[in-house]
Amino acid sequence: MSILEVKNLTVYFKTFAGLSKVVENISFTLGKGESLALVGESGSGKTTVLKTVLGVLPSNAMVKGKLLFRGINLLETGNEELSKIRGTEITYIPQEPLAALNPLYTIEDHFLDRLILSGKSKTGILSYIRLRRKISPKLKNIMLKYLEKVKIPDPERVLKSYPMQLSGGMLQRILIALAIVSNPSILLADEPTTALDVVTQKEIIELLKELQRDLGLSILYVTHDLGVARTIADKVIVMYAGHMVEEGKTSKVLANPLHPYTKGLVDSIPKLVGGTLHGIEGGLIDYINPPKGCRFHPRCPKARDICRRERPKPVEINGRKVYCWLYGEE
Amino acid sequence: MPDYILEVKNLKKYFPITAGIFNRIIGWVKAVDGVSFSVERNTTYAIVGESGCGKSTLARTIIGIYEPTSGSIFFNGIDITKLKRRERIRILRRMSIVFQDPTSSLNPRHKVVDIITAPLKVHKIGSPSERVEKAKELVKIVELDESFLNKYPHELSGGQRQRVAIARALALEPELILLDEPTSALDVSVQAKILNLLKQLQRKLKLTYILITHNLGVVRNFADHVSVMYAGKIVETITVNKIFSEPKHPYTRALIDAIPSVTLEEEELVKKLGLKIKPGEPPSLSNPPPGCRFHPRCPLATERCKKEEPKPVLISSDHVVFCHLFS
Repeated sequence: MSILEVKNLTVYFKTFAGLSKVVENISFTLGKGESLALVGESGSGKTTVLKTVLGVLPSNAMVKGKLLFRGINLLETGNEELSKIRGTEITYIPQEPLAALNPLYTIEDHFLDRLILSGKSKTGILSYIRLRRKISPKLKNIMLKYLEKVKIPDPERVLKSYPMQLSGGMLQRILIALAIVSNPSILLADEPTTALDVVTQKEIIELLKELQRDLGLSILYVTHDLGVARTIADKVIVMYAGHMVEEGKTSKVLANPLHPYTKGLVDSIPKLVGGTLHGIEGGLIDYINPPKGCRFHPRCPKARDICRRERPKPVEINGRKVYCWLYGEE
Repeated sequence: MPDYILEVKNLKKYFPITAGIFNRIIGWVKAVDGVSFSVERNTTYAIVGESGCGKSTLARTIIGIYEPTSGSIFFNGIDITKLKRRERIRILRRMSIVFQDPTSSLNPRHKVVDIITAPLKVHKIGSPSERVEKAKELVKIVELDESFLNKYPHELSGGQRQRVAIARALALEPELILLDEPTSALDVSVQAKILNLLKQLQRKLKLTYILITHNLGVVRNFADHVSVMYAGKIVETITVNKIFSEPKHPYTRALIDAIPSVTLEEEELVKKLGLKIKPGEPPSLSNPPPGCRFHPRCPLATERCKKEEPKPVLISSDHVVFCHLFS
């Protein structure tokens, strides 16, 4: 059963220079307990998709399409109902842990914020001061329980610490704890390991996989690292310039990429087993005047006439989907 | 006898920790603590480690941004730490550096032509028109168009900016270039292009590279020799071929284990060579653990590792490991 269904999602931004057509016709489903990774280079629109699901786009955005969460279209729900879902049912792990936490508040304060103030509007300093006096042992136990869940050593001390006193890996664990404290069904993770070192990255990946299994979470990842996508997600969607180019099981897509862009991307990664690197000619497109047809055609080594004229339709090959005219004829 | 362009011997760089109104020194951050290695001419030497292990400090000490606390750096056989300032500057001209983030290493108020000719201006080489000629030549070498000379950095993409930074590094016709994470701010498809360019330049201009990186994949495809650093010290020095067939130090194996693999082949290699370590963080550089600095996280640590600092063990002529397991 799918828990999140995105149908023909299109996001444009109004800018002074014109209409920036950043995301076009994205469709996917996320099932219960499933993990899906949106992969692409910087500027490919993957974070925009995530922000749309979370409902935190800037005011100049124009969104079309459907975002169905358990059958409710999130794009049409009122603010009040939305705030019940957002932050409780759908939560978010940001990329940069030190920038995501308020440096003036302790970890305990951050937990209080999530546990009591979550979803409430118009909370000020007074409600915070009132809160500070009300920390019951029960609340504290919940905090400690979640810190233990994300395997933080010495949680008592950590609760009293400020973000700057803790390391990047620890902070990322705390952000994960803050995200799961409301028992969400969907977790959105925007490059959750990019700011970390490889050894710490591995620990965080293992933690996220464990939580996904134990809590039955559905996780939507955004990452630029194909290696991380492969270890962390069951399914992958490769995005290029705001379009989907390929979709399928992660291990299969990376072992045998069908779309020329995916292939170029896989061939660009310096691998431990050696081999020559290729790279892809050219750079990202101009979103205000995007190329017609397939957006990848100016950089594609196999581009033909039809690629320049018409946008490719999805073709199903062995349970995978690829958006490319190379496979269109059959 | 191999021809070494650079020999670093027991190099140390400590930063003082100060407190109080008189800036009393209360301790030292031992960022680089007794590092020795030698770089052969015309090869690429990689230094790998996690952030905070001292690898960037090492690069900056070699090129003279930081004054070394002790130790010596032989460049073409001359100990540059013992030279007078003017002499040293003359010699350091033969070395240059490419920084990690091209957005912050290029002055946003300067045009590309000024950025590239800046080193020539500083060292008072050539007349203004000669410098512009040189800049034209340099942009061509890094495969950019001459029209880029009159652009500002914000008009360029990340890859193009890094090419400008490389052109600037080549301006003084150096023999040795330090590459401090040259591609980690770039996308993979661009990274591959930049790495290929650097390789091609190395062949054409007979350059020697010191590559500072945390990415073992880049090391595999780009370097010849590699030193693995942990908490300010080198733990293993090895050729690149051997690090992916017979890594010895537990930390090296832990680094390999942590790599998220992209292909099945890679996954098998990681499984074969990798070693799981205890969760934890690298130690504080101001108060490192006694004995081997890796022992609190090492799954193979013995009593001896907690007390005695490991001495270099020669496994073969080009493979040195600092670990008690092999002595």
